[in-house]
Amino acid sequence: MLRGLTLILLFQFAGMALELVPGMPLPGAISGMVLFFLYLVVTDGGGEAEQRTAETLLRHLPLFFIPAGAGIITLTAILQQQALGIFLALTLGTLLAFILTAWLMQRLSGGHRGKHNEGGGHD
Amino acid sequence: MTDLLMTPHFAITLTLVVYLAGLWLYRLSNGSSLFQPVVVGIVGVIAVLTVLDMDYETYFGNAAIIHFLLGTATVALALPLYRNLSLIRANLGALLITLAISGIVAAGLAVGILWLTGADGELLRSMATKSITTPFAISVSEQIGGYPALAATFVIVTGILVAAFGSPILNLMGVTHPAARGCAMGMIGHGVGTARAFEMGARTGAFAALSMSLMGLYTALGLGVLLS
Repeated sequence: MLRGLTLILLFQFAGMALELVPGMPLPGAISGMVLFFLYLVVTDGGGEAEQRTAETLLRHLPLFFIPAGAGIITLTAILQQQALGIFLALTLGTLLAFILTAWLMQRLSGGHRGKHNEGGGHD
Repeated sequence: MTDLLMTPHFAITLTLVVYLAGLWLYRLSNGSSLFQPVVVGIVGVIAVLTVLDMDYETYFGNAAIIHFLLGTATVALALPLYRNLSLIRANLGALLITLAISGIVAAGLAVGILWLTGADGELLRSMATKSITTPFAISVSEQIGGYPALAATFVIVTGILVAAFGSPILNLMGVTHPAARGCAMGMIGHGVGTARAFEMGARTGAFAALSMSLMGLYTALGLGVLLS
């Protein structure tokens, strides 16, 4: 566990260091993810220690959103002022993007029809 | 007494307690999308801060270690991406085309609608990340000058909408291919949509998981190049 955590922290730190490079478009944590991904590819999945640590962190991913998410308490004025726009952007924007994505991928995956072993009528 | 509440011990324990309460409620509601542990957790923290008349900055400063681990967990997202690598390679062309178009449409539509209703600046930047997974949205909005908390809220609401209405819409549209169903759930509904996709089928779930990661990377990269 400790070995895995140390390794993942090293990638997080390396990602942060990359953020200092001028013109770097990715936030440090995401660069760190890309580096960790490359490590997994190169080492054929890495060791058991880092896999288990990653699984543990991901199992409780929502826990880590709470401190930042609670900051919404300081932004209620904006939410109220722009309530209609926010509501429309979230509902209409999500609906249209969802329909387009499903339609596009269904068209593009047309050649794989033989592989339908689940999906429609499931729920 | 007040001094005791101004310690990391209080802020960290509070965060863990509300999260565990959220997990418990989520199980009790049989996995209802509305009872996301993170929603219950955020509402719980806000309720306690309000009752104790404590300011958010104090809480956030004391809970800093948990926010720090968000970055660590973001790095760990490489693991599911790696595990779905063969599925990505087998569907590379379709995935890349869908991603290229959907990424722009998902962010562009939401930002465009909000802009039309008169919003500007930080609010628009906070909306641009609404379809990417929360840890990505928080760090991207920090980077491009949005409000991370608003970004997280928009992401969570988007995910809940997709989880609640995604499956009936797909059935109505006659979309049957697991790749298409999974992609729509994961690309637009990120982690919350992905959890729902796994209930629709293992293959649909796997496609949702990889779509979520690809969408996150693509949007982060795109917004980073455009706005920072």
